Amino acid sequence: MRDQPVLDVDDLRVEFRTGRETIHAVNGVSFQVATGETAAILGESGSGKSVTAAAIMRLLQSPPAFVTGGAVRFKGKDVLAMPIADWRDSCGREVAMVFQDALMSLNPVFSVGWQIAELFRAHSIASGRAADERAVELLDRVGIPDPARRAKDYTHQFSGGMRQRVMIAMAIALGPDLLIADEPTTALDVTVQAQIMELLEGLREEADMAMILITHDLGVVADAADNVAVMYAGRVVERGPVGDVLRRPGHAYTLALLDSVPRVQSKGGKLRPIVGSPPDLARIPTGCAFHPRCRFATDICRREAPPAVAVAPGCSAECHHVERVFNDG
Amino acid sequence: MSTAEQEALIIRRRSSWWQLLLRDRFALVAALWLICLFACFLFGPELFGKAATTLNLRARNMPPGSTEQGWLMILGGDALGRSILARLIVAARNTLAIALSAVFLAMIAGAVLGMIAGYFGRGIGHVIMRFADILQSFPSLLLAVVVLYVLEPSVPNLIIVLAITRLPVYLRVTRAEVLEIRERVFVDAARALGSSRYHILRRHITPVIAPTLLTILTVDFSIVMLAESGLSFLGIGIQPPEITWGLMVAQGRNYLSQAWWLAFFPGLAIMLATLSGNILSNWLRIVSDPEQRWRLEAPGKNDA
Repeated sequence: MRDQPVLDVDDLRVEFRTGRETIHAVNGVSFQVATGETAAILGESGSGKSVTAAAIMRLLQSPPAFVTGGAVRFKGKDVLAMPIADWRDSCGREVAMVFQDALMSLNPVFSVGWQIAELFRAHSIASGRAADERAVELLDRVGIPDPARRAKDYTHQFSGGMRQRVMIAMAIALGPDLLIADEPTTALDVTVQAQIMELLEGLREEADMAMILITHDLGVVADAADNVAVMYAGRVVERGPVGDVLRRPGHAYTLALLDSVPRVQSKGGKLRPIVGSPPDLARIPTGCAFHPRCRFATDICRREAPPAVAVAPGCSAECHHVERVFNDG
Repeated sequence: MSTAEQEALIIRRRSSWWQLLLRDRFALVAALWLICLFACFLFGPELFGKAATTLNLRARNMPPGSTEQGWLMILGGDALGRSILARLIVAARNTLAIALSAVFLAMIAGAVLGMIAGYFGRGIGHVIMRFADILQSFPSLLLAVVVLYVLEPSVPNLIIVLAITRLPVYLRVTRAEVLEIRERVFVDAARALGSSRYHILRRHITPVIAPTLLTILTVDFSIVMLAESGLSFLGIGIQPPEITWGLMVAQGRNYLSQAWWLAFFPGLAIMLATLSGNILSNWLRIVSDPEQRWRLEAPGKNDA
């Protein structure tokens, strides 16, 4: 980690209020990302990782979503408190986001070159021919062959991987300091996934950007991230450098996640799926939210929310049984 | 990579709009007919204004198909012996001007209100939608009668009244589409890359809903022409000696049993104008949609 973090999320809380119930999607998430660092947010569907990203970008529709607490500081400025127009002006220029499904994230009625050039025009950085030329340069930079011709094509004429490259080109167009990638490779097949991750990593290094990588894919986290925050039921349950956390987790949930992933080396070994399903976020279990599915669970897990316990230098886990888990893993 | 090869198979050559139009016979005929009408619109009253008002008592209710009284009488003569063909040509200007202004006015006002209702807050949306409800639940003919009776029955007033009665359709369709499109991921993506609300409406939402609105517009075009004829028939629309196709239909109605051509030809003109507009707008919709365009570019598409 280096000096002041680019992004500092502190105790962020987000609720969705429907007519009948309140869904606690994010319940006190904190993490920091420093310049040049890749921070991964790891969690299964419904753990609140995408909502966290949307809250940071202020993309949530309110109602039904309400940010009920916490702060997001980007380069020291309070994102949630500033006027939305100011933040939108920073978006693209200083922070950018890549979405999971590039087909859905690009406008179907404009050519991709036009859409990238539009970004320069919207931020009044370049206009007309100059904007078009910069769009072609960007397409070239993200590895799209024959960029001058492909710039005239529409979204549906691109393959999944190429579309994601276009989306990435748009995200890095204005040279942001922070890139949030929300499951950038989930919709792609494995070989293309590797190419896209390589591209993202390369671009990040080149521009010394910070990157937040949101994913449920342990392989992607292990390959690309420096630090990881594991989310469960809207909380970060374990955090630390990727190597340490994935090698010897301190939280029962992280361990269970690792056990449920097939590995080539241990062929024939039994997979241990996590029993049950993620908790209903309108009725989060008391104590540790993971206890109904946890094989280490004891009485205290049902009664008390676990405090953060240091596992190793820079690592902490919110678990009552850190030692048992640590020694088991 | 196999996907890249597949992409290479997609027909890349983009034909120009002209080439596409020449290949689609229906659209071509429709376009030619509309150009013809537009010429009538521009030059009709200057070229045929006199012929359209000249009385010729020997040609009263003259049946069509004979050129005894000159070729202008080929479509017959009206109750005062005026050339129906000349009157049709002259009436094109008023008819098209009123109908087009009314539908475009309705579309623009409806689209703007619909976007506001769909995109900005609930409060203002409710106000706008209740306004649309009131407009729709009030009989449009009655509204027109009241307004035109109180105000002068002039062309601008007629256009405004017709536009107001058609406005709710555009308003509702626009709002519904905006509500759906604003939830699409590409709108979120545009926001995440720093687009303002105004920018999103103008650059991302409007282009997607425009084809739908244009399609409604061509259908509305005929409805407005007929509504205008109804008002003219009641004597609060276009005042003679000004003429429109709708007024010609209304006037010809009295003679329907003896001289059907008085009402038939102006009716045919309304129908053909509407039909051409429909065909051409449908063609335009396909050409301007990048995902549909190949249907026109692919060879032998007439078999499909």
